[in-house]
Amino acid sequence: MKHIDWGYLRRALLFLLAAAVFSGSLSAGGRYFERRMEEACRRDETRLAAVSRRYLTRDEDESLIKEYFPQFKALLKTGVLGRERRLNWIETLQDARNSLKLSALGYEIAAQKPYAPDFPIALGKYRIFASEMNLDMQLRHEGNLFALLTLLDERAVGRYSVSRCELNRKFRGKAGPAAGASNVAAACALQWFSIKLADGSEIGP
Amino acid sequence: MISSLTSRFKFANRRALFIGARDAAVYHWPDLTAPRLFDLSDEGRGAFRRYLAQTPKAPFYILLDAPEEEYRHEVVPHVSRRRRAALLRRKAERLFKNTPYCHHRVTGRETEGRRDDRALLTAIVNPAALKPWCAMLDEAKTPLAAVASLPLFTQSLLKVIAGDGAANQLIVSLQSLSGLRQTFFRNGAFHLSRLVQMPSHGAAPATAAALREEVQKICRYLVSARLAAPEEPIDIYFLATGQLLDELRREAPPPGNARQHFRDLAQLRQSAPNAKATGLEESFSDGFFMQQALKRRPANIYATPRERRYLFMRRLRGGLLTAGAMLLLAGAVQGGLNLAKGLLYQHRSRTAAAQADSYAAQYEEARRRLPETPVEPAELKVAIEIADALARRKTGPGGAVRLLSDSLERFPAIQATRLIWNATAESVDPQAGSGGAGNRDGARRGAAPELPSRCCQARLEGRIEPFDGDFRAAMAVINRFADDLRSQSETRRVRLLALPLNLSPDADLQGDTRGLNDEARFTMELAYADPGGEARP
Repeated sequence: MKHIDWGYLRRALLFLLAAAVFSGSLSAGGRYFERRMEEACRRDETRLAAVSRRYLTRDEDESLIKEYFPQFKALLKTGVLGRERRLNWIETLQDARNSLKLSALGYEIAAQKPYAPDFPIALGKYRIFASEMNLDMQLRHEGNLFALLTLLDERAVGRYSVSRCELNRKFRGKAGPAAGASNVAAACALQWFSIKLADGSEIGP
Repeated sequence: MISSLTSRFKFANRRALFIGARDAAVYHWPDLTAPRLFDLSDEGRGAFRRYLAQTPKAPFYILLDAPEEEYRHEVVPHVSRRRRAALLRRKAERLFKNTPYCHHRVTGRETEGRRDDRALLTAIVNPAALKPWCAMLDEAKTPLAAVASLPLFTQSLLKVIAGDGAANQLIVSLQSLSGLRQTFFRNGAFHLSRLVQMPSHGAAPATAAALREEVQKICRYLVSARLAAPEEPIDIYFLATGQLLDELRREAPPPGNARQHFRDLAQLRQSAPNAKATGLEESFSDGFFMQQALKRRPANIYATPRERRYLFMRRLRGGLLTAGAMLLLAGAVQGGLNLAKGLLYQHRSRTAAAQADSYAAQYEEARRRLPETPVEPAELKVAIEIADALARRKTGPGGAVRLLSDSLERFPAIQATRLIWNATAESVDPQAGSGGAGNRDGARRGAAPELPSRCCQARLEGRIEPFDGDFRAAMAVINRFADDLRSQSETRRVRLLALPLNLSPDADLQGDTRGLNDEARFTMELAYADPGGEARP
């Protein structure tokens, strides 16, 4: 090594270095181009497969739309799909209190949370959410509770299920229940369900 | 004159420098017709430097024909190659002092005794004969491939000049730059050589006579010194051409036990594959030896590693350039392959995109006839199935109230005070609590129907009203009430959790026998199957 004249080799070394850089660039550039094109190809072929499937199932889509879209729109309208209608619930409770002449009807609605159903069901692109509503009522008799639930069924927008109820009868000595007075105290917990798209986007036009 | 060499030198990839006693000459391969002459003066060296500066850096082979070369034959013990080399190197350093140009080689082995190795040691005892030329080459960064001497190189030409077989061979040649060279080979191995100064441009008869006289001298020496094999004649090979060769043939027969052979340089050159190209016509042997040297490219004998460094660096540079070219080629091939594959992918991608667009357009055309949906058509059905499932799974206390109301109507003495209802998905084992106080579901025992997941539970607290203090009668009514509940088809389990009196021997029991303030309270738990949906009482 001591006899080597590096100046004599400088151009060759520079050429080797430049060749390595240029060759590496060519190779890397080619590889980058190939990968980009491969990704684009895979993306387009996946899209083609999806479009082809959809194209081939357009007759099936037509029958699905004809069969299910009216029901779907109805669910949207009744608040089962999309945003829940809390104002409607409260208005319905106020109407129920007035029409059933209840002395007290208190409510408490918790924040909406994701709901994991305890039964097997295919959710597809959807997710179920539930808002818990706690009701405290003073009833004249047990029948008022079922009348209230019937009113919620008929007028309230949405779908619910009762998860817990407690009825306590108030005794007023040997005279028995008084007409027009609050003879039963009731506390119930309801789950109001909403179906939404799992990706968080809104359903609807 | 020198500048014109550049064009002629274009295709030459090697050249040779003949260094004689008087001058030096450069020969180019393959055109040997115009050797460049340089004398040993400062002016000649300057011309040589200019020549080097103006010509491409083709490698040089140096053939030295100078009187400063000495030869010694030694016998050394036969040891390993490495030890022998060290031994011969030390011996050469001792024999030839103050010169870097030493060489040694093993020429054979003794046939008797310890069968020692015979070795030839040679050296350029006056480095000044060679060193300035090597220094100029190094200064001009011109590769030096090898330095060999004419006598030692002649050994590789024995087959060309003398053929095979002769035991004592004396090669006689006349070089214009050095003089008369007489080299003796015994059994094909170099033995000794002698250089005699001769007039370079004398008349042929005079030159032939002088040459013949010198040959007779060396023959006498070989015989007297017993250097030639005594039982074999000395074969003398004269290298000459033209008039000199004719004069030599006309001269008297060879001295003593010797045979003469005349080799016409013109014929020897024609036997060479590139004879036409060389165009050598001079009567001296310089051209012939240089032609052979350039053709055979002799191995290095005297040049030091430092003097040959530009050859190494030239090869290294060639390797670097080749490696660079290979890298470029590999990069281009790899990049080209990637590019080709990328273009194929691009073509497939475009084809797929065009097909997808076409299908999408056709699909959209078909979809235009249908109403716009906020989700994919298949997802419409899923949403409806989820909503239906939620509706089917809807629970409420209606079922429990209906069950209890039906039974309570048949037992007016029982007053319900509290009802706690829970919708639970837990499975309720009808056998659970079989040891409880009021487990009277004997009719259903053994049937053990598996509860559906839609089982609801209710806890009822009540009392006997009016109660006259007859606990036996009160408990009988409560038990009958429980049995009545069990008889309902939806009922899965009825458990009495508390009775008006706890008659278990493990429990403490106290009361007032007057019975004025006693109440007959009880608690029972009911599990039943809820059909689901809009359950109402």
